[in-house]
Amino acid sequence: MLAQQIVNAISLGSVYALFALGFTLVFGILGVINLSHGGIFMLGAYAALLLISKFFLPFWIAIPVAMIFSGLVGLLIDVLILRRLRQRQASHLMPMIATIGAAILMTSLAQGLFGSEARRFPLEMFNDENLKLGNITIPLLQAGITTLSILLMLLMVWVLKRTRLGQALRAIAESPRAAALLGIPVERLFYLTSFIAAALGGTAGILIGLSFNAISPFMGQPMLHKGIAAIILGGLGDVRGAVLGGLFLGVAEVFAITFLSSEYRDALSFGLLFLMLLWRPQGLFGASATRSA
Amino acid sequence: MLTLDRVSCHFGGVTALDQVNLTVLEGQVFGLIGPNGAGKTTVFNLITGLFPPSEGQLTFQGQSLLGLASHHIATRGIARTFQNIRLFSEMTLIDNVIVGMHTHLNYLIWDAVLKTPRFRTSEREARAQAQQLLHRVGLGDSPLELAGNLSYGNQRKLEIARALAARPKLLLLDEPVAGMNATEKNTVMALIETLHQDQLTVFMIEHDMRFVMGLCDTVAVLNFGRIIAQGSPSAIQSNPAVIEAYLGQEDT
Amino acid sequence: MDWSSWWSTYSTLVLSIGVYGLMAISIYITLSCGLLSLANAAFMGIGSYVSAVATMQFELPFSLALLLGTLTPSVVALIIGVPVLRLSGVYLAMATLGFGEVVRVVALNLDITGGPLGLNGIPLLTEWWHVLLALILVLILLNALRHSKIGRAFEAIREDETAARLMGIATHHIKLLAFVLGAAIAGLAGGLNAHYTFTLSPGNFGFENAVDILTMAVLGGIQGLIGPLLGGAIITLLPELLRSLEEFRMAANGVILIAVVLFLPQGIWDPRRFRRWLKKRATHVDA
Ligand SMILES: Nc1ncnc2c1ncn2[C@@H]1O[C@H](COP(=O)(O)OP(=O)(O)OP(=O)(O)O)[C@@H](O)[C@H]1O
Ligand SMILES: [Mg+2]
Repeated sequence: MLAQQIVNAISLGSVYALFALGFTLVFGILGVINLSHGGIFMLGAYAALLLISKFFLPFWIAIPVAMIFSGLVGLLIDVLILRRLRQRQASHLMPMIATIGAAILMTSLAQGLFGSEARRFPLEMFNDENLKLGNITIPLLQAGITTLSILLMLLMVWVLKRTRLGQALRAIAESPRAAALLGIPVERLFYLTSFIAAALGGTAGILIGLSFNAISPFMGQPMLHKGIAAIILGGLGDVRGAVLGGLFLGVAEVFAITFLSSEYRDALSFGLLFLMLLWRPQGLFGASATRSA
Repeated sequence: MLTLDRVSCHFGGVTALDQVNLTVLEGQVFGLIGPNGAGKTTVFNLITGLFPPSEGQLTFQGQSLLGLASHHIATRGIARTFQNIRLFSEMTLIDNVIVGMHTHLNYLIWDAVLKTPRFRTSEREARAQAQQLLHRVGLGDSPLELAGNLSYGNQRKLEIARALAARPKLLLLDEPVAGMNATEKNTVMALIETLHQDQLTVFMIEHDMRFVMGLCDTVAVLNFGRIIAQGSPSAIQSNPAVIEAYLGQEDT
Repeated sequence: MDWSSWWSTYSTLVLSIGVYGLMAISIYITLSCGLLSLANAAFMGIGSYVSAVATMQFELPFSLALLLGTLTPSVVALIIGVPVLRLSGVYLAMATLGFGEVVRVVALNLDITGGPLGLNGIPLLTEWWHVLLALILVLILLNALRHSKIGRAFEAIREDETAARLMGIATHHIKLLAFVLGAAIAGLAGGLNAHYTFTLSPGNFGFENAVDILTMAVLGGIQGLIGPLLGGAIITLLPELLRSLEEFRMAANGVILIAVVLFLPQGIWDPRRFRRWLKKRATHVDA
């Protein structure tokens, strides 16, 4: 029973972590809280759903195409909104408000196009095969979801830590101005970051859609809340922190449902976030949050 | 009036100040000079309580400044200007100066809401004094201009006016004439002379040697976080360690 | 259409314009002090619940209920403000958002607030002149503060908190004052709101509401008190005006937010822009 719960927790937590990873990447590199990340998450899920149920694409094509689609949505938001605010050196309030606007727009479009009811993937997609490890049963689907999100996270960490691209991105995170002086194409890497982050967010949406088999226009908002909680727990802009924050949140939620009443599950992420901010605003891994002159 | 006793300050691995001793006497115009990055601004930041020293004592008028919040230090009578100008650029010149008087406006919220006589007189006097201060620094013509629209030199003058509005006992000036032309420098020089005649204690950081030597009665030299010399302007100018420090800098 | 039937159709809308004007002003106070606090929807919720419970269960007079609805969120703001206001920028936004969620979930789980169903049958006690009076009093109060050392301190803190502190301004006290004042006004608006909407539920005070209120202030502009009022009126009227768009109605809200940030960063009511226009006019006339 406990082992089963741990498996569930890791599975849920890994998808949260994937979502939080994209979210924190944008903050770390662009210095912006992109509140449309939840909307992208939702659109990613719908894209996969449409590709599978309307265009009858196989699974393994639909998912990458939906990922790229989500990435393009993120790129679009960057080009149309964030880029202009960067040029204007607007205060941090402005991108937050504009991306809230983008999130509202996406939710409303999805609602208008697909209706407000939750939609499902075609049932025949899900076979009931299970993996058995001792007395733990893991549905194949759940195993696949967990594996994919962990692989994507490892890929991202590898890119950031080991490649020249990652080195350039880290230089930008440190100081965009200094990076530009070193000849790094800062603006293009901003676009790339927005694309990658959104692709990760969209993937998280597909995976959550698959694992609960329910996709609705409103699924982005609660996820955004969890993402916020995860990256603050880990420390804003810190990749390692976002991953651990997401995992931790998954674990905490699964155990909250088991041991507390389920109504408190949603309060949990924000309760934790609230306490964390009071105790250690910079998060577990963040540098000091209060800078002075 | 102000003493720093074996004050050190470390930022991570960087030692910005190393066992600094300084004494500024009442009524003095005290100058602190030194090459770039020597730690001069850090001295001001410690005095005004922006961060605590790693070690050492800071005392002002016989009382320790350690552990006091910045705004309490300000109310003790220390006002400053900033090397990288920090005006309230969206506010008018006169409002900038009146903000400097904040602690001297003794009315309560209720006075403001009910517009009591105490509120009215206090605001009226503040406005008049602020106007006078603007005149004093040569900015009396357009009190309703926005601070952000001023030229660089005038912004520095406005910062001085704002600091004076707090009626300080000790005025800290961080490079008050940086970026000014010769005429502007002369007006600031004349201004500081009148402040000196009014018995105000001035502690300034400045790179312009003519300015420092012309105004200060004592000069201290900071290099790599250490005080390497202290004395009268003429003694400093001929001090070999000082010449060495400045020459060393020009070499690089 | 005669007056009384017009009023019975539109009274809720008119009262809402006033109440959301108050809400926009409540967030304007914190914004004018440089604080991005998203807790005001939650403070409104606390004010609503407290005053509704006061009239329904304790049968207190409306004025006393409103007073309680104003004071309770102020006290809460005072308590959480001390730790929370150490944060700034996005951290503060996130923390206050977190606080809002906590309040919502608490309301969802308490018995006295009616749980997920909320409260029903709240007596309809709010008259139009209550809202008008509240608005006038709040405007007088804030206008007086704006032209005093408090208002200048708010502005100084928004522009450069460190410099403000070095001028001797006790910045943490001033910020706490702004936070508590915002909470009080939000609570008052909540109390008024509860007594004409008939029902209350925890969903009314969540993230969407917090965003709506922020939108009002940003859309209207935060250069003065007129902007937030204007923004409150526009955002409240918008759903009525856009009724023909049906499901896509919310999309218009999103587009407006984006457009305001991109093209009208100072909001609609921007005295400085008006002055520039006047100047331009004047020079044209001269030429
Ligand atoms: N807040 C801070 N955090 C980290 N390092 C700092 C900080 N403030 C100053 N330093 C470092 O301390 C050293 C001294 O800096 P300081 O600004 O006091 O020099 P300065 O003498 O005023 O130089 P300048 O003539 O250029 O103004 C520098 O190496 C600087 O990088
Ligand atoms: Mg300096």
